[in-house]
Amino acid sequence: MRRLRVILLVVMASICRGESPLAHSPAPIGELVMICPSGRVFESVRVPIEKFETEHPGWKIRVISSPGRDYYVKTLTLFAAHSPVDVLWLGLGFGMFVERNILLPIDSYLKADSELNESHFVPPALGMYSARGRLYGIPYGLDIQAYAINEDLLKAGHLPVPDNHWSLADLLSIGQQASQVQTGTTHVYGLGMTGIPLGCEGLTILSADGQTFTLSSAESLNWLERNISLAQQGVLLRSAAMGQLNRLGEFIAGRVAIMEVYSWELEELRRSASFKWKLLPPPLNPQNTQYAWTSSSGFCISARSKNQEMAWELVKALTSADVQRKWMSLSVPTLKTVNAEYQRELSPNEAAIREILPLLKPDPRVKNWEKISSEWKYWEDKAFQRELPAAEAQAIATQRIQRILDADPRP
Amino acid sequence: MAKYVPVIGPVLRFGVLTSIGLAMVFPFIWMLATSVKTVDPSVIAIEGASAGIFPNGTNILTTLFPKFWHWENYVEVFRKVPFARYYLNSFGVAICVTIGQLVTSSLAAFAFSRLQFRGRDKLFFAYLATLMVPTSVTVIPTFILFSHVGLIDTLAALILPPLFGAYGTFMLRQFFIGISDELEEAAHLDGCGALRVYWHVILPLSRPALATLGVFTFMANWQSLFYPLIMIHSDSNKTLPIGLMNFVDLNSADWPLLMAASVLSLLPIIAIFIFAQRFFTSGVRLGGVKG
Amino acid sequence: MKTSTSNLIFFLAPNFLGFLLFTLGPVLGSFLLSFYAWDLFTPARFVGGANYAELLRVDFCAGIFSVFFFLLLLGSGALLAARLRSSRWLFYTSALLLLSAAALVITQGIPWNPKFWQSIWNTFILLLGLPLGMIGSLLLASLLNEKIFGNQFFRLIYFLPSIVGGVGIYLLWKWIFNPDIGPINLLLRHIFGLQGPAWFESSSWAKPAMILMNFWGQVGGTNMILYLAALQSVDPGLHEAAKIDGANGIQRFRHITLPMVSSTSFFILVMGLIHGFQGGFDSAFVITRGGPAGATTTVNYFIYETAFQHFEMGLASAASMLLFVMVLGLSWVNWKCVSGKVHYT
Repeated sequence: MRRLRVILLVVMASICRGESPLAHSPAPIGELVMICPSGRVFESVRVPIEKFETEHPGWKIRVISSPGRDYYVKTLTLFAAHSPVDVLWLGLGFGMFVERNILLPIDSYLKADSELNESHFVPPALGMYSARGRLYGIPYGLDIQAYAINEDLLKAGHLPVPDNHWSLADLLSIGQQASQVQTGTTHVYGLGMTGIPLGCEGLTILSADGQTFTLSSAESLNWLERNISLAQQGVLLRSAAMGQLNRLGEFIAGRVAIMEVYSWELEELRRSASFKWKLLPPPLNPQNTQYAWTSSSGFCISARSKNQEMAWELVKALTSADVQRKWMSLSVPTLKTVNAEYQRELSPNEAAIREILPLLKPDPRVKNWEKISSEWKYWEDKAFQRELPAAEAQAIATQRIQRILDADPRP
Repeated sequence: MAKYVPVIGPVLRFGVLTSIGLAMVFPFIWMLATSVKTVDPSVIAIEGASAGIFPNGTNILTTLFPKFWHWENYVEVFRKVPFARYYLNSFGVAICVTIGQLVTSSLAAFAFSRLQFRGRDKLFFAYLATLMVPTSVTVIPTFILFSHVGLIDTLAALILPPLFGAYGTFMLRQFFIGISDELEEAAHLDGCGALRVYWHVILPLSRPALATLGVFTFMANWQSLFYPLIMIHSDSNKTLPIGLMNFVDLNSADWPLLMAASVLSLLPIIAIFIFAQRFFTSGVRLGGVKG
Repeated sequence: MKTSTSNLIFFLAPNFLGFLLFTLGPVLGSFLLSFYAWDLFTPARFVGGANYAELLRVDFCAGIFSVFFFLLLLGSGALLAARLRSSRWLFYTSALLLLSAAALVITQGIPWNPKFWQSIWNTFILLLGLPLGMIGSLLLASLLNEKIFGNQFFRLIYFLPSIVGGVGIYLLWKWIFNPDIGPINLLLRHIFGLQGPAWFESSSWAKPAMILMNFWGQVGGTNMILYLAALQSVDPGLHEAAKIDGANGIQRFRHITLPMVSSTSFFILVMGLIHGFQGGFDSAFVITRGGPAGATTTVNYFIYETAFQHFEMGLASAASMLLFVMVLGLSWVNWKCVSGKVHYT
């Protein structure tokens, strides 16, 4: 009976210890741990990793995949919990990581490298992973945001189809008029977005140095109030914010006239849309400039990594030209050679992408971006739900967000 | 038979009960119905509006019972995310916690009910008091503790904290107190030590209570969302609730797939319910109030 | 019969060690942590009562708060040391503390931390579903109390929603409450011709939707079983006697049934309050992520968000301590108020 207890304890302990009921493989010479979002990114790293493991025998790569929505928060938690991570995928959340000093600067590696060189990349690419003059990661794809127009829907409503030089006023008028177009009994959304993007108005959430909250002006109030009234008129697709309706799905089904579309959504759009559509660059904002939402996908190295040289080799393998070619349908390549191919092969209705590329510029790096964006969203929602007048919501948000920024000044 | 609700004839009562029953079960029927539909517009064009989730052009019956049932949704769930791994993890964690809870709680309940020692009742009162401690109070220091020993993102972090809940000890102690002393005294006369009394006398008599506790612990753990959310980050260690959430993010409005995944995640619970119902009602009585 | 130490260790040790490590230890740890500010990456910084002050929004009086807290601790320690039996001192000091906090806040004119107080408000509103559920359970139990055909079957059906909790069910209800294509709004549109509200997308309808969902999930569950057991233990002779005296159904219900099930009601109320304060996280996380404009953020969700999304460990610990105090206080108040009215057979 005592033996039974011991056996039970041993069984439980072995289940607790292992992540899988299957046995572990024997210990390798060296192991690198990599974390990336689950889904497409996770599937795409399989081939480069196999190639890496054959080229560097004795090294094993363990890939942790984390869900897309909370990826940054979860990765930060892993870092905080001292889990060993050598290489990590980063996109928009780069600022949160670099400001916490958990990334390794790789300038020296890039300079010393024989194959790769700064000049091999298109101009905005490396800037997406630079901070305070040092480079922290290598991107393999630039993500852009364009505006997709359902030309058939506009023609059915006898509305003019805008060209590449359209402005915010055009966006607003087409959106409002398109909402009145009826197709059967279903509602048509003029604008397939949860709100007019800030960039279209020439506004930003934070100043360029990331120290000041800049949505406190009268123009911002205007923008907020206009969004609220557009949502009330049914012009905006607010349900997408709650995940109730799929923005892309609605557009493909022909129920949206203009939608902001991201480069990773283009593949599905190309495949499933049964109507005539085209892409447009961002409209001219009241300051007569265009603001392009910019993001990128790339890999960085953790400052606590114990195998930094190998990690650098892995990062290079994960961002090579072959990898970039495979990602061409979903993002814009960063190596000049592959980028040229990409631009050559753009189909005519996506020609606007060429106009967007020169506009790409990284956002300010803020450590508490998660906190600030959720705080802003909270007060914006309060205004949308009519719990507070927009002016009051804006005032309180300004006070609270500025307090968050001031509590953690950049040295 | 006294009537407690005024002036309802038997037929009317049956009708009321049936309609309430329908209201209770309707969500499940809706879930099943949605899980066999599709969002692919081309398929909907062929099969008619009832195959889609938009109910335009259908009435309630055809929405609930579409002509074509897309059972492949259930297979698709396993293909899109590592659903089988989530199932396995959930199962492993729930079994471990159940076994561990039963073992440690019954030992401690025996100590509190049958063994005499100094400070026994005060200690038991402290145990009771912790029943009122919300999970959120203990989770942050537990997270910090686990992060220092490197247990974050392992299944052990999910198994250890619920293993030592005070509820099992409380319930079993109440039950053990109800067992009469005669058998125990007879065992003592035969020369049994405390351990043998526990193993041969008390345990066999408390099979229903243990089974009830086991069932409740398993179910609570199967559905637990808070701890896995905080402790688990990588896909291979996820349990079913977190895996399902992951699924939501990836397929934010593919409702048929989501509903299929939900049906799959509910199957063990419903199976346990059907085969072990008596434990639920007896469990309520065991933990409930007298009178 | 004194137990040998080895026996004691064998039986008690596993559970007790776990209790120390995973329950008592963390509670103390949380208490200590609530006086620090820590974001997991930089070393923890001692801030005294500033976390509590921020939650209760008394900005520059954080110093006064810290002093007050430590005085209170000192006082409680002295009381325990002096072995004062009466708990009235503790009651008076806590009342004093609350009054002074209120006074400080009012005189400052600074708005209270909106999110924390909103989460408390949300939790209270969700607790309103408890009496609703109790009434529903009692009515259902009354209906099911007869030996009629299919009784057992109905009990089974009604019990089903209460055990199938979890993410799957919450997603199902998110789908059911979908404003455009969900069955509830469809029903409203086709049968009553009404434009249904935007349920989980509207901050004023999200909580009612939650209450409805919780009602469905609890009305036929353990509460109903408890009420059934209580109803069946009522002596039918009482009802016969009342009928002879000329009382009709409703009067019998009010004067016989209700008092007889009062002890069950009390139990359900206490348990429901304690669970209600600790719950609400799962549904908030799965369905609305804290709701449109924080409408479904319960205290639990607020603590999770503050700790694991904003990385403010100290603030979250302070909030969890406040939650703990609230649960204890609620149980105590409930005990004191209701114990007079309970009727034991």
